[in-house]
Amino acid sequence: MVLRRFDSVKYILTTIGLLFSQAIALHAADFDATVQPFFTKYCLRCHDAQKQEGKFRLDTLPREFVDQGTAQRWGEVVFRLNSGEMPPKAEPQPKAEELGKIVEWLTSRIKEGEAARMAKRGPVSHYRLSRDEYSHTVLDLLGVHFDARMPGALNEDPRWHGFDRIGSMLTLSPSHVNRYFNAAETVLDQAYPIQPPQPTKNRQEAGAPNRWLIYPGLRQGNINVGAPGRYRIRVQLSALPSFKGRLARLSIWNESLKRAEVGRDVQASEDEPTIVEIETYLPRGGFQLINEAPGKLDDGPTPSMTPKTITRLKDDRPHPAAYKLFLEDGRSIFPLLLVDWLEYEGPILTAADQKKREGLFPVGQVSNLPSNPKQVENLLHEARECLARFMARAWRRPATNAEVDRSIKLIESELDTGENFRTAYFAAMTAVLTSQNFFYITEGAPTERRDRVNDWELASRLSFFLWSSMPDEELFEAARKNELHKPDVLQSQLLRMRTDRKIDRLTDSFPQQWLQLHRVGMFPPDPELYPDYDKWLEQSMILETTGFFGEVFANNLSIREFLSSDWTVMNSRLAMHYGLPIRQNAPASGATEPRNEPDASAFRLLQSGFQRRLLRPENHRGGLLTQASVLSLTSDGTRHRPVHRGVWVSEAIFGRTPPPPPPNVEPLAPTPSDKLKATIRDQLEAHATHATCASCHQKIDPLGFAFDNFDAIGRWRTSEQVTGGKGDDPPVNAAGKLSDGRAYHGAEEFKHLLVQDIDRFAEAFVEQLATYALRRVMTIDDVAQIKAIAAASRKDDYKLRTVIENLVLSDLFQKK
Amino acid sequence: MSRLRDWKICRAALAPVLELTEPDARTFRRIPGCSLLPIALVVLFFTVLAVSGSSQETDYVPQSGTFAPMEKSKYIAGELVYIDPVNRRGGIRLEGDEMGRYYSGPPHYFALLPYATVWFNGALAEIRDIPLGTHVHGYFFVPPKGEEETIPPLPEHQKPFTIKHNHVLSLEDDFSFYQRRGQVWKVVSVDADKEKIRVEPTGKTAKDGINTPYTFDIDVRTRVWKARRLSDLADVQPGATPQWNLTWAQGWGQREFRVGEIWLDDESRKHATESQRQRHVEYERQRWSPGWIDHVEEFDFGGGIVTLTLFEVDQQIIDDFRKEKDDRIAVAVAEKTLRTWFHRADRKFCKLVEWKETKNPPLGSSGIQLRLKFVELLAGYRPGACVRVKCDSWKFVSMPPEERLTSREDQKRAAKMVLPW
Repeated sequence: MVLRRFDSVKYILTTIGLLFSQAIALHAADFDATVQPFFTKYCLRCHDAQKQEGKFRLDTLPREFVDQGTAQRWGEVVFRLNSGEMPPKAEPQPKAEELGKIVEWLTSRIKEGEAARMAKRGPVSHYRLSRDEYSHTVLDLLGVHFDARMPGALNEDPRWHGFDRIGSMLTLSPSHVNRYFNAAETVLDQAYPIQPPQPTKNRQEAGAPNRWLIYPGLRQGNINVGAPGRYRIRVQLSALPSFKGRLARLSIWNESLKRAEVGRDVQASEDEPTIVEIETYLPRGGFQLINEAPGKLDDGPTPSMTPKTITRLKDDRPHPAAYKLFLEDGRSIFPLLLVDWLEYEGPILTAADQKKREGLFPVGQVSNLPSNPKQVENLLHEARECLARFMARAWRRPATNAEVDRSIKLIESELDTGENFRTAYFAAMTAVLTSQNFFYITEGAPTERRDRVNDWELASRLSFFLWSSMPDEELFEAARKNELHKPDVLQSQLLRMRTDRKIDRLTDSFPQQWLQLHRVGMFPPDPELYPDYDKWLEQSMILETTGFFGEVFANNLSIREFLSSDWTVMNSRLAMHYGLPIRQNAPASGATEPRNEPDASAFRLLQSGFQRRLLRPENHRGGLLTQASVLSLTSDGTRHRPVHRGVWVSEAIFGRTPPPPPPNVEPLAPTPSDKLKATIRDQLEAHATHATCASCHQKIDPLGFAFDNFDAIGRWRTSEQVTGGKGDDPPVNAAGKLSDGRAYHGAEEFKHLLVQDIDRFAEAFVEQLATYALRRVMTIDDVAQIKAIAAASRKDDYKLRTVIENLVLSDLFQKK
Repeated sequence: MSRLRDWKICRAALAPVLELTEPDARTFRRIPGCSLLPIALVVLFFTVLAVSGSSQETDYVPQSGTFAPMEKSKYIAGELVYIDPVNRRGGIRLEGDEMGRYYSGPPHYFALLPYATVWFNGALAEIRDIPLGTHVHGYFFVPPKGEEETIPPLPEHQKPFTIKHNHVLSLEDDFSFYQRRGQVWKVVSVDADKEKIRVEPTGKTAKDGINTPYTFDIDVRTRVWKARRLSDLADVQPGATPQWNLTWAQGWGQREFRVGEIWLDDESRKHATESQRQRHVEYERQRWSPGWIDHVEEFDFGGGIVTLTLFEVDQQIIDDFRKEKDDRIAVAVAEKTLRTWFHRADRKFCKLVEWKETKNPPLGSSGIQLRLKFVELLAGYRPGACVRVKCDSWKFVSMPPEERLTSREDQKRAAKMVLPW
């Protein structure tokens, strides 16, 4: 039967192949008659063997449209012609009908090739879970927090233009397998420990009237976590802002990883201390309280001269060789924490987490095998049922009898070697979690050829899109009934899932990947030039962007807001950075913190003091493009990079990736000390006069120059700080002209030009969203459906939820 | 007995007057008896009121952050008989015998202002460089506000000898004092048998000190320098134009002095000056160049900009800074005594932001102001506070424990002078 199916598939492929080989021959003649004269007249002067402008040759581009790569290139040609980008304005221009004819001919050929290209795709697609998805999935599967990003946990995922879930990028190596194995054991040990850890409560006191004085960089208190899990930490403290209004930030410092795990802004006067409560997952190890503020004070013996405890600030007579913590008028220079006591208790197991584990592990005698054969049989029967449930949930589809049998055999073979039942059952569970059925999302089957995903696959596709995790029981149920693909069922599931807290994972993860926020802080800003920059600012930058996206989603605003808005979300740290008035809006004292798990981005925003704030034109902000995260990720840590900014705008906003620079491009040299200071733009413009550079730079650079009023970490400026050269720092010139001739002066006008192109942006946005949802790069074959989704969303003013809904309900979403 | 008691009462009552000028005190000593004492007291009571009022107006109180003007100072001279080199303090046996001080009074104890300059052998020096017994000229002020207790009050029986001008702006040996003012001595005659030398001033005339023909003692103890070598008394001949350092002589009460050391020619003087200059430069390089902080701009993300002024130092020290002004400069906090803690560790590095020079700076100031950028600030970096500043090229040297401050108790103890007797 299987063999016969293979034969039929072969037959279809062969038939399609034959048909297309005939078609190619027919089209070759047509190409010579229709297209070649046009290319000769308008294109080949620059794109032939001699000039190869933009490193692109049209004369050697194959004249067949079945190959995916070739079709993509022809698609690019169509786009350039359609958009008016080619031929360049200075060259002879084709008549509209000439152009229309060519575009129509090429589009038809591309479309004709689609079926053959689709047929060339394998019958099965595998998409490995990204690290974050792995963490979310084990959390939803077993209620275990596993930080897959922790050093040594899982390998870092390769990215494709910011996306870390592209199937073709996520390959598997022996080191992956090894780490999956270790991860599975860790997760299962935590879910079903031999000895369930007993929650303990510990308290440490500074010893009244003394208080721990925690200045930036200093760590106090000891939180020893013997059993990983959720811990509740309570701290009574006063928290004094700096004389500039910068809030203190109480964080939990991981001693082994040397990083703050979780923190929150706090403000409380010396006389009226408050109690801060933080609930968070902590791995095994030592933790301390830290004041996470810039200005780390840890040089030489000075910390030993600086008091660690204090009674009353006004009574303090600092040692002259200690750190200076106070101004002459007594105000604190840095944000300071004065801690009275620290309590921590855990691990705390919630009923919800416990419920996830129910029915997956036999509840009877599990350590030693019963002596009674009947009892053994019963136990193995229970194990079979538990494993079948576990496999179905972990693999996101029902397990076959053969698959369950294999697991039971594994248990039996372990028992035969003398292992106890728990160990044997664990081996089977570990095998489930280290199976490719778990860490791969599989679509299709080798024995069948279909163009659409089935309901189980659709359930996974939907849940990994919206929740970055496995489907829940209700979604499984819809798949089980084979009803999920029905538009009304799919829509109702979408609406239900949208209201679940796990939707925060989408609003957190998608903007990070779409906008390539992983690049924020990739080149740490030079502390000499940007001494104010710290980790919390970096995190706040990212939180602003994800929070902004979440706000658009929560209020179902138009994606136009991404381009331009009169509001943003901001905390005090960012307000300082943007030069806006600081609102002292630290969370109310005594408020219980939500757990710090990956799906709690909304709470992270709340605890970080983020609020929606209206903006005025003089604030120079609004939309995504002038957010510090975006402006920073396109810089190199020292200088802003207009070209990088231009490339980023081209990719994120227009969905077009410019060609890479030619090799061996000379970097911009620092301005010699005997020359006048020059802006990077001045240097670039000199650089771009070179013929080989000009063709690309004249398209890319204007997209970046618009943001020249923002420095490398996104601060507003009117002159550019230049380290070399002589004379004053030169003024910024943020004016430019788009390739279509429209001019702008500064970022605001540029953003308004983008808003005028909202349809173009919408198509690019849908493409990005589909890339994220379908875990693959969109091709020329997806263009029509992307355009259709965008066009359908236009009717509702491109509201974000509408765009998502249109994508989920589209053919594209169910296309394999 | 009753006269003695009345005398003590008079001294106590008139102490403020006595502090004013020595002629006043001399007048008082010549009061023949105390039978007129009640009348004198009434007269003097009003005099005290009048004079003490004007005294408060005329006494310049040094301010933190401002260099005290020389013209507001009081000139006092005598023999250096006690020093506390670590805390830059000392005691002078005042010349003459005003009020019988030479026979029954204590030295005049003093503290150097942080920016005080000390000169020895024609070059900048530390007080430790001046040998005990050297006759010195000083310009004094009353204590800065808040530092009235630095020099503790004299014991009750010595109180009449109190001179409130006990903070020094400048202290110089005779060599430096006269040479720097252009006053040269000319030997008129030498009587080897009587061990006397008769001299007269030539060139410019110093406003203070001895500026008239004078006869000094000279004997075998006098060290005579000629060229770069020790010589004999026989080389001291009429017509020579030497500089010298005076010291105690039997007739001190009558303002008699002995020539302790004499430099007969230019070469000997230049050699002595250069030797001292080198000594001073090395001292500064090891202890670092003193200054005080004019302004601090703190950053709430760490560090800040500190503006400081260097005190008067040798030109070679300035040149060291000038050469390396782009490199790492270290700044250690210091007390008003210019003592530091463990300065090679208790310091912060910084970068020079701006170098500013002032022409004709006030006495005590180098005229060099530095704006320095720090990544971390110490608590002692406060406006008016003293610091010591190190060039990057200078070697780090650990000071012996008695020189550095080791604890807050040590700091407290060092804030006041301990009177030796």
